[in-house]
Amino acid sequence: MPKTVTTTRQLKAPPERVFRAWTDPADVKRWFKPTRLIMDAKVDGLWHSEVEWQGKRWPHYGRFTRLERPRLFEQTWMSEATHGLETVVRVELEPKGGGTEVRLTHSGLPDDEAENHRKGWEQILSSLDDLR
Amino acid sequence: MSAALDRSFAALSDPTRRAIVSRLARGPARVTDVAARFPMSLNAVSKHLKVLESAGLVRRRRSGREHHLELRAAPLREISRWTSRYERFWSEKLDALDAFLEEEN
Repeated sequence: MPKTVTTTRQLKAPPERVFRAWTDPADVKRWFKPTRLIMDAKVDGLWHSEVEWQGKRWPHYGRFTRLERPRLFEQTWMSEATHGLETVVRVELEPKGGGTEVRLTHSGLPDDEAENHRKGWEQILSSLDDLR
Repeated sequence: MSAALDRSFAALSDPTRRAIVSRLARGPARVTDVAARFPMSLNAVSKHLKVLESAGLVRRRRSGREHHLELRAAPLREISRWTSRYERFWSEKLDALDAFLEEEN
């Protein structure tokens, strides 16, 4: 079963500024901090970024599928962590209180967490067993 | 024992509360600073904080008029196995975006 991760955040900057921070490579380099970035921010434009995260190098590849400035963009997203599956990252920017409510949805993720859940529950259940 | 676990899991079954925990994992913070990060009222955030506190995941300390929040590590060590890698990844990246845009002002 593919899995979806959703994160929301309230930012003080307006949607136009947030949209630019995500889609202008010069800006992306400054906050996403990729060690390598290639980005053609248009529909069907390709992108590649490499990030260091938790002591490991993560190359990512994808394609922009929607760019609706300044309210929404969507890109496909493939990496080792997606097990070669073409996952989709959608970012919606809603004006709110003079700033922006950011809603990020990462869908189509492989359900390898399910395995972690199962292991975790087994561990909990066996520790309860130890109490007897 | 199992009642405490039930409370921990129930407390973390909400994305806002997971985001609060993720923020506090980087260090203690003031209630007002945590609340400012979410698109909801201070009152709504306070309700989430109460759930986290009663589950024993978050501790509140008062110094003068300010309330500081910090994580309690022990219950979280077990629970960290359950949080998704990408949820942590995006939470960190959105923190970085927030910091970048704040610096600009």
